[in-house]
Parts: sequence; structure tokens; C-alpha cells
Amino acid sequence: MINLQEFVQTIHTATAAAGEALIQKNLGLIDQFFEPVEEEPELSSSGNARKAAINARSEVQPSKEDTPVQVMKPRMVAVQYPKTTKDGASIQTVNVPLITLVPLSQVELKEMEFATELELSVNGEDLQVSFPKRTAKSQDLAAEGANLGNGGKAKLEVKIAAMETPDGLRYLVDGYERALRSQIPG
Amino acid sequence: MKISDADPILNQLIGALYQAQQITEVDKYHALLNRLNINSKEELEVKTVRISMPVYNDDKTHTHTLIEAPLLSLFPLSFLQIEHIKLDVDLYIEHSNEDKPSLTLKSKNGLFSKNQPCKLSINLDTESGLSSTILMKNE
Repeated sequence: MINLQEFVQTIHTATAAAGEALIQKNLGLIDQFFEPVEEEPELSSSGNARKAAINARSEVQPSKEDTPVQVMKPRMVAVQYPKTTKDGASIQTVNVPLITLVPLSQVELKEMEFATELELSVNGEDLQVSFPKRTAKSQDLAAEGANLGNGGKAKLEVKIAAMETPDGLRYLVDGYERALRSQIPG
Repeated sequence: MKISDADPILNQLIGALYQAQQITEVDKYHALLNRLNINSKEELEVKTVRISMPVYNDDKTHTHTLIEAPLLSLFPLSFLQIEHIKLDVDLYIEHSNEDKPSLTLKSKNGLFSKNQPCKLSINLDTESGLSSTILMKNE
């Protein structure tokens, strides 16, 4: 026997865990298409300025855990193109980031529906549920409409769905997206 | 026939569903706070990934620039909530008090029993709120 609230909470927790697992799967895209930079790359002037700004900020507000942030670089594939020049045929190498070649698919949990038959009973102030016994005889009796056990037969349906992103969080994400766009060269 | 809003079984069932939904509301906000790494009123910095992006210049030279991308803006955000709970229960209407029928889980079958079998449906929906209906069963 389990408390009804705890039972519903368990369903919600399990669904949330499944959603979290999908988020982790999405995060795996970073490792799939980017690899750690072993040495600090030669930065452009804007990159240097940015790094200086980050360092300056760190000096003003030193972080509690001063762990270096790993820099990632895109995984590339080199493609050789034949080309004709005035000196004859030659080969030109083009470096292509893998992320631009493969369609990206990110999955998220939008909706989950759960339905089960239960047996309900009252224990003091608590409403408790259990799963009905699934013997062949009990199934026959249930089909005939018999009420088995001490409690009432019940059917519980729970629908869990993704809520809309709250406005505050959406504005926050918009702000970060603008900051990201402003860093992209070209 | 009307079952009183104060019927103990009805109240217990509705209360249990409400509480179940409330508990998951708390879960939902904990998940949000964990995702954003918020646990205090301290100034916070968003989690980011730093990407070294190649730049091909007009003079055919090749340099790199460092992009700091917030994880929040790279991946879809989904927060799950209980949108709907429906509970159908087989119950009995007890007529021990003629003016005030009440719900019971107990079956009292027999020639002189006045307990009528029924099905109680309780719906708790984030949009349409709470509704409950009783359907009498013909025996």
C-alpha cells in the first residue's frame, strides 16, 4: 500500500527524470561536434579583448571555485577540391565544421500520459492505493464486476505536459541569445 | 440526489488529488532552480560553454575568436507539470440517513441493503479546474 500523493509524486518524479535524461542527451551534442582545445588558440583582436574583459571581471569578482573553463573547438573535416590555375591543376583544401553538415535533432519530452487500475482504501486520514492482484481468478471475477479486496476499484489517469516557458525566463534567454549573436563574426 | 460537498470520502479524494498536484508544483520549482543553478540571492552567472570559432579573413589569413555561449540559449527548455489528473472510483451511496446520503467504499450487498453502487469521477485540470460527477450503476 502506498499513499496516493506519494504515488502521484513518484509518477511526476519519474517523468521529470526522463525529461532530464533527454536534456543530458542534448548536451551531448557539444561533445559530438566540438572537442577540447589543448592549447589556447591564437585569438583575433576581438577575442583578445573579450578574454581581457573576462580576466578583468575575474579580478574584480574572483569566483569561489576558480576552475578554468574548457574551451571547445568545432570538429572539422578537410575536403579537397580540385581547381585549375594558370600553372595547371591543383588541390585546394576546405575545412568544414561537422556541425554544418549534419542535421541537428534535439529531443524533449512534451507530454506523458499514465493510466493504471488501482485499489483504493482509507487508512485514517490517508488515502492509500495498491495494485489489484492479477490472478486468473481475480481477473475473471473483475470481468464479472465483482469488487475484490477491502477497497474500491479505481482508475487513475495522470497527464504530465511541458509548460510554456515563463515570460521572465524567455526574456532572460532572449538577452543571452542577443549576447551570443553579437559575438559571432561576420 | 445530491451528495454533500462536506462528504468525508469526497473530501478525502479531492484533498488527496490537490495535495498530489501541490507536491509536484514544489518539485517543478526545485527542478527550475536546480536547472538555473539558483539556490540563494547571490549574484549569479549563467553556465556557459566557450567555443573557439575559426575566422577566415579577407587577406586569406586564418584566426580564431572565442565565443561564450550560454547553455540556456543552446537547448530547448522544458519544464514538466501535471496538467490533468482524473480518478474514477467505484463507490457506494449509503442511505443510512435518508436526508443525507453519503459515499462509502464498503459494499453491503444483500436483500435489505440500500447501498447503491456508483462511479465517482474527479477531474483536476490546470485549465478547467476541479469537477466531479457521480454516475449511478444499474444492477
